[in-house]
Amino acid sequence: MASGQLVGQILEILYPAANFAPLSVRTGGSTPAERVPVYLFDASTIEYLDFKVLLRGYGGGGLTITLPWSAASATSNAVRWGAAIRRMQDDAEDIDAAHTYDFNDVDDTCASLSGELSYPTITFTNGADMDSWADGEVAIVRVRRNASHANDNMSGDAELWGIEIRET
Amino acid sequence: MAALADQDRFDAWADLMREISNRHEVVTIAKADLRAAINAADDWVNANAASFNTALPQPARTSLTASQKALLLQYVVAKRYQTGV
Repeated sequence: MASGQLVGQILEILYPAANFAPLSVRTGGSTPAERVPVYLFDASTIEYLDFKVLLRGYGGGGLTITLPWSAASATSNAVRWGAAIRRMQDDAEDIDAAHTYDFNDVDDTCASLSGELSYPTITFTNGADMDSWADGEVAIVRVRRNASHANDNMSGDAELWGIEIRET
Repeated sequence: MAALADQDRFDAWADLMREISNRHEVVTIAKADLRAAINAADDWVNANAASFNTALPQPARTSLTASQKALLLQYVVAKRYQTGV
């Protein structure tokens, strides 16, 4: 696959057993109104959302994950987004065992209006940085809002609209 | 009466941000500044609790429990907010 190509096929969205970002609906302003499913990441507590993803057509160039999001109420200040990968290697990775998720982070200032989107990206270099995730394998991609970090100062929920995974 | 414990202030701050988020009301200040406002509001309530109690007429002042007086104040403040007074 060439740089910039979509390589992550999202199979399912998964809720972690604790501190997960719940599903909600953002109502639009059109007639009839749009009803956009969004995942609400709290401003006071670190919350997570998992994605079961199949890597297909990956050529070893690293990954770029885009996280389109909107602020539920804020018009200024920033959120610290993080993403981490748990590779489910063939006959090697046991989902029943614990895994330490190693997050790559980005600080992103919200859009100027709460109904507008921002499109921050998080990059992973090929190899250990992406848990050596290989083409044809499934992985758990864990997204979090690090609400406890000093750089995360935005009031109110951050609404994640989804993720996109491309080869860098 | 005493000020809220830090965890209780944290809970109030978290609940307030969730409520504002649900209403999609515009907020321009940082969450730390919102927390400072929570702390100040609790300090003010604590400092003026006796004054509020004195302002209540009888028999409410002696017949209502502290919890009921707090609920009474909550409803008055909420209605003022709803009507835009």
